[in-house]
Amino acid sequence: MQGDQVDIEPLVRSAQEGNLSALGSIYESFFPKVYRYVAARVGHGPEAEDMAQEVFLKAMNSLGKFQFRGPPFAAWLFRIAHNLVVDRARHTKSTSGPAVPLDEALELPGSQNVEEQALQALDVEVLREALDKVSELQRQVVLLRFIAGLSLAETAVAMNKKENAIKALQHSALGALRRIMLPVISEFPARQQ
Amino acid sequence: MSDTKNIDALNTCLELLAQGSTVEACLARYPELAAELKPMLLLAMQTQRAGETIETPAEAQRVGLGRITDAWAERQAKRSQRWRSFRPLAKSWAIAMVAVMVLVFGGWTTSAAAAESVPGEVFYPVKKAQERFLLVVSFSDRGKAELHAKFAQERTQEIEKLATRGKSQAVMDRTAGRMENHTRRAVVLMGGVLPTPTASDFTAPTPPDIRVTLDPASGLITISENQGSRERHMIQERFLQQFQHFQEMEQRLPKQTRPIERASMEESFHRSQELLHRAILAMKALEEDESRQR
Repeated sequence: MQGDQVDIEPLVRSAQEGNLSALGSIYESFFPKVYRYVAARVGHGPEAEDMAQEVFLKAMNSLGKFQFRGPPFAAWLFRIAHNLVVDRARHTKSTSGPAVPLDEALELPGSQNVEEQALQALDVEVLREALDKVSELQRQVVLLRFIAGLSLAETAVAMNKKENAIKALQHSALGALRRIMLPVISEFPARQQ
Repeated sequence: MSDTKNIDALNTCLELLAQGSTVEACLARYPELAAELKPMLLLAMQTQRAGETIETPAEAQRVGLGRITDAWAERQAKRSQRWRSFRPLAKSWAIAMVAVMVLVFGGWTTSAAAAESVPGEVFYPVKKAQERFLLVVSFSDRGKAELHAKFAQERTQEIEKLATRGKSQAVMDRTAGRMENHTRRAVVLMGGVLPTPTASDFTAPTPPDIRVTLDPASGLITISENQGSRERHMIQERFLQQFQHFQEMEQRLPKQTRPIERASMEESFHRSQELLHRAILAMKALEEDESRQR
């Protein structure tokens, strides 16, 4: 996992042998990232808290099956989180709008300088609203790559897709988000004054 | 526009950014795609920054750890139930194991040396094996709970010995982890639940419940302790003693301990104390249940 300083393998092996402290350490290491991932999707609050906790309960129940010969631990954990978030989206029938076509996304009005300034003011609520308007796959790539901080390979495992598919998805997702967010974020300098 | 070259260029730039490179350095690699790549890279970076502003709720994190601990304890209890069907076999196996141990390691002199040992010493594995044996041959949950509380206290004493002997923090952390495991198991086996700590005042445990019974036929009066209450009281006492022990340990740390090591030890002590606090509250809740049932 990018930026992850914890040597996770000894902890996971120890937790698999029934060491509760090791399990606690894994939880402490990953909870913030899992929470951010879930909260960026469902919003900051009790639902995100409950879902983040649920991810770890499910992980604990399946930890015995995890093998180091397989996917990296972070990817395995986020696959659980991803499945939970996607299931929740299906149940709530959230507004997972159609993907914004890429060619449309790239025909942007306005000067690039204004866009760059506006991007500096991007906040998580604007991001969440924009994420509601892209496809589920595009949304998941953005959440896993840029919020949870997974690598391309880890994201591919978490989403059960090939790396090339993830590359294409992150390209289309950023293009789509740019198209959706520009009118909103362009207002930011004015809003903040 | 979305051909393979653009897709690959974006991904390469994202990887470079993740490794600490700048947007300008990335764009210099792909000048012909700079106009398209730049806003996408900025958007990716800002998305990452926006994500980092999401604060993790400390209370939810703590509650989540409690849920995991409870689920873990429940699983352990179920495993323990499955294990009970093998009790007769286990008992004979355990006796045989200790007999072999005594023969191999030279009898009770070794046992005495083991009792004084700390992690990392030659006889420490013997001490652990003896503890495992005692847990195997103690077949009631309350009996096991008492043993776990005893072993938790033993680990606390070992932590102090390790601290005064200047052993590494890693060894102390492992020992603290074992202490926490024993404490949690003791609480669960007593039927308690570790609560989220709210208050920091610890009251002395109520003495065990005394039962006075009159046999109407013989006219004999019998005075006896309620067994469950006695075990609860013993465990509660141990947790309280340990809590106080940790407080004293902080004051008794050797003067030559370096500030960074001292801070690390104190942090570890506080973690252990917090768990003991919760264990004491769990025992207090059991004590209140007992009072209501009287």
